[in-house]
Parts: sequence; C-alpha cells; structure tokens
Amino acid sequence: MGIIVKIKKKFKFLFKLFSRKDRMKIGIYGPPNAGKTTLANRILRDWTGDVMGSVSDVPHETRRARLREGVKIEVDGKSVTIDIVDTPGLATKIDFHEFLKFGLSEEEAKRRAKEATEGVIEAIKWLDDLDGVLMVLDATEDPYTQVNVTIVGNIEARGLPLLIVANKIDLPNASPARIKAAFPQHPVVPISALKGLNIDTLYREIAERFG
Amino acid sequence: MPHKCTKCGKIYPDGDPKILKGCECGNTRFVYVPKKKRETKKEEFSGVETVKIISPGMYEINLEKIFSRDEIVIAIQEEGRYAIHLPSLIGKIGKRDKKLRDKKKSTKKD
Repeated sequence: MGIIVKIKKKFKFLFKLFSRKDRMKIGIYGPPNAGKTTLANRILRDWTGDVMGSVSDVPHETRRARLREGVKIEVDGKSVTIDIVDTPGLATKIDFHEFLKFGLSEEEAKRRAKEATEGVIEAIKWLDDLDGVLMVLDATEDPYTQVNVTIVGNIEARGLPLLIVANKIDLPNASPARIKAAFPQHPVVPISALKGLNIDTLYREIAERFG
Repeated sequence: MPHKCTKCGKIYPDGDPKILKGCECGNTRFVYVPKKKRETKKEEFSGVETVKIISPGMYEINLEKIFSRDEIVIAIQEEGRYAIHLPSLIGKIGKRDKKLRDKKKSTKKD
C-alpha cells in the first residue's frame, strides 16, 4: 500500500496529465476591487451572452462565491469548456468605516463587513474543489502585498495551475510589468476586463493552460 | 538625527549639548541613530484564531491559518473568548468520517 502511495507521489505530474478532466473548474481570485466580477462578466458575455454578477466601486461587492458551469471558449479552432467560480475578494482586514465613505449607512456597512469576512473564508474553502486559478490583480496597485503573496504561495503549494491577470491596463498609471516582476514564475496576461483590451490573448492562455 | 552612546547605549536627542561633552558614562563616542525604519506590519495573530472581531464591523483575517486549517476559530473582542465556526468543523469531521469509511471499505476488499 505504502509503495503505491510513494509511486503516486513521485509520478504525480504523470497521474495529473492522464487523469485530466474534460471540464476544468477555474476559480477567479484576487484582492477586493481588482476586477474579478468584471472579468467573469466579460468571459460570460463573450461566450454565453450572460452575466455573473453586479460590479461596484464599493469594495467587497461580491460576498458570496458564484459558480457558472459549462462555459465553452473557442480559440484558434481549439475549444475548451470550463466551470467558472467568481469569488469574493481576499483581504486580511475588513473595516466598515471604509464603506461609510461610499455613502452606506453604518448598519449596512457593518453588515457588508461581516458578509465580506464570511466571503473570504468561503473563497478559500473553494480552493479545495478547483482545477486551476485565474488570479486577478489591479495593475495600478502595488502587487507586493501580503494578501497576494499568501494567495500565490498557497496556490503553488497546492500545485494548481495559475494564470495571473494584470487588469485595468486602460488606466494611465497601470504597470503590468511590475506584476510580472513580482511573480516571474507565472504567466501574466495584461488586460482590461472593462474595455476588453487584450482579452483574446487571455482566452488563448486559458485554452493553453486549462484546456 | 539622535545620537547613541557606543558604550552604554543611551540615546541623546538631535542637537543635545551633552553630546559635545560626552556621555554620562564617560564615553565620548556616539553613533547616529537612523530614523525609525518603516516597520512592515505583521499579522497580529498569536493564538489559534483565524478571524478576529476587533469591534462590530471590524475584522482581522488570518489568511495563512484559513489556508492551512479546516476549522474556523473566531476570537471575539474580549481576551480569551472564542467561537468555533460549526459548519467548517462539521465539514472537517465529515471529511474525516468519509476518509475512515473509505479506509474501512478498502480493508474489507483486501
């Protein structure tokens, strides 16, 4: 019994290669307001004509994970069908005062903070059921944060395929190169999920990595 | 910049005339004390908690712990009060039971 486990561990990559599922479940992760739901909406609109959820300038708009099954993406004659999980933004601190600035009442802000905290836990628990991760980062923000490093480190430890999306390149101070420098071990695709810039490259990468 | 005595470590503020006369310990050598380095704030979690409720609507989340543990332990404001998130714990027990069941099945087959 022990020998089989040892062999399995040693040839894990081969087992993975041959036991690849027909349909990969891909999670969209990242810090709040990076554009995760905007990207999920873009993918669904492009390939199913549907949307995933509402987006907002107020952080932690998505507070429950949402699953959309069977999204068929076709690139260069190659087709890949994936299940997409849009997750709440990951953070180490959630403070309702932040939401008050956006005109929310104290009660609403406190409820949002509580739901956002539960959302972080839910997002992390989803990782157990995934086959790959799209990590969305805001290219105008500093990528060297504790949250980003923790997420990437954990995804690496789980051996999940990871594709980093440097979002918001339509903004003048965006720097996808800074993200690439922070995580040189992973492919980085610069896009604007809102404007659809470079989105075809992302679909090609998705087909390549998750197909 | 403040000066620090190389012998006893006493710190004199910037421009203190005592620096010219020498330290109280008799030493006349000082080093500059560089401005306080910007401390990278580490997570203040010391115990078992995965989520800390600082006050209603303010939370600190220990991502590392959530990643590495199955159960969610919530620290509630006052020292020493904790809550365990039952669904996560039940999920863990469920997983453990499933593993045990699977193990029993495989041993039966053998």
